[in-house]
Amino acid sequence: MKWLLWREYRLNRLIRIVGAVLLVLPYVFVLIGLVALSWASEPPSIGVPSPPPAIVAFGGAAFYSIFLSLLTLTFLGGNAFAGERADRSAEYLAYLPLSRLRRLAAKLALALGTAVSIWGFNILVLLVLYFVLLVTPSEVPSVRPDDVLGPAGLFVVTGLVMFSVAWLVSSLQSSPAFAVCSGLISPWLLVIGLQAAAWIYDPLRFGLIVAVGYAVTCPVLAVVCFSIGTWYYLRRVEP
Amino acid sequence: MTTTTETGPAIELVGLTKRFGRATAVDRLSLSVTPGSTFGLIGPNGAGKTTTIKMLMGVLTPTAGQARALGIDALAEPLRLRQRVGYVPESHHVDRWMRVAEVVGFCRSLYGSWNDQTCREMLDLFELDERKKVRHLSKGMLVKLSLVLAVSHEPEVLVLDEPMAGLDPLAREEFLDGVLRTICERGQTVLFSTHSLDDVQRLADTVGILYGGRLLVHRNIEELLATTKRIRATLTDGRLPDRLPPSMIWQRVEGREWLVTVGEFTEETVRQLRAEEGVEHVEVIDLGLEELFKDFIRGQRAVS
Repeated sequence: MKWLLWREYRLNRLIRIVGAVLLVLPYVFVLIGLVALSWASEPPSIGVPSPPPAIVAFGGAAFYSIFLSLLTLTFLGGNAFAGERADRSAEYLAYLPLSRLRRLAAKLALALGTAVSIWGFNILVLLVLYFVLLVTPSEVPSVRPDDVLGPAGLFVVTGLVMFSVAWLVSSLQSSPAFAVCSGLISPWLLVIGLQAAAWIYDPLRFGLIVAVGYAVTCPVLAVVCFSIGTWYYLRRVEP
Repeated sequence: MTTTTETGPAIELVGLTKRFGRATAVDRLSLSVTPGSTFGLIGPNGAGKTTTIKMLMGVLTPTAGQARALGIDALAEPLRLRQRVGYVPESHHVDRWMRVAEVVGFCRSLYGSWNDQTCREMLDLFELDERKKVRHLSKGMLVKLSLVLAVSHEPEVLVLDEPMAGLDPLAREEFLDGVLRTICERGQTVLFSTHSLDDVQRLADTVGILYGGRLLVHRNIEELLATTKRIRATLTDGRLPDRLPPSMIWQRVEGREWLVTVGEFTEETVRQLRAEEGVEHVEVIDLGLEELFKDFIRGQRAVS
């Protein structure tokens, strides 16, 4: 299993590099912005007392970084099976005494590991910022649980849908690009569908229907797509 | 020395059929290969050789029939089968970003029977540099690496699917030496498909000719060459005799000359022909494997 994990890790090197770039990109922009601000003749007034701009900016960067991680996970889902078929290494693996279940486990371990690494890093940044904020002599803004849990929940369900749709399409055919694109557009298609349904059934509660519908449909869709993709991959005899 | 413990055939195909839509790639193919023998499967492009081998290795579902190696059903227990069968493909899709040592390490982790000494000997025999990346190997070296990977787990059956296609004569020779070495040292059962009839004549005990997914011949090479002859006869008026020889494979009439290839040839065949009215002169010609193969295919094309 060690060799299989290593192969999977190495096979997705480009995606990992892109993921790392997307992880640090918001922080790099924040750093550039802060350096540019420090050169300005007068510091910008954002209200005193208020949290230092760096803390606010890095907090925003952490959220952007989590948002961008959805792309990385979609790339991993889309490349999972289709990538091997595209470079035909699936044919090579097909003749080895290597079960589909083990190959699947390695792919899932990589995706899970990547998600935990990116999200863990950003959550750590947010926690550090929060504690810095507590000890900084400024007015700590009151943060309601919804302010954090709302966007975080949205990212989680959206990420699950994007990854699972890409995973499903990847298991069915041999184009990683097509699988990734399918994953990327899936939340948009879902929102458009929900909006259309809301307009038809109850235009007065349009926002509520779309929000609740999205929150409910995403996990269901993710589970269905992931299950079908996994089942198809495990059942398939051909590479 | 063979390690095959089963008493039955090493490879057994029973009514194996594969259809892709309306096209039949393999048609009720049945054959068995005895343990320790070398079986050469030959046929023109599209004859169904690779499809047959894919079904034997359990990577393609047959439409009907069964494929077994060492008594293991390829579809029911593909992993168990692949532990005991080595395979060298037509196209080599080993991960190109790996180094030779990494490919070896990866494969080694999958086989319980991996023999480091055999692997080292084969790497040395083929002068394969373990530090080289697969993408930097020539086609010949890549084929040799495939053979190293296929034999290092000491399989009881070795399957080669046109591995020498496109190799230069020297690489081909070195590859064949490697195959011969494994056959001689371990007494493995070998099934190989090829277009090269020289290779078949050099390696195989038994030959099978596949055409249109059907097995035309399955026979010991020496027996086949001894019993298949071409007869050149002169016809008095260019008309074929009333009674054609039995087991006729192919024939051609050009002017007064009649060329006919027959299987199950005996002296009786010649006597019968000489006795026919309108046949003036009969000459028997020995055939090489290449001519014999061509005649079988021409004969089938003429029929279809």
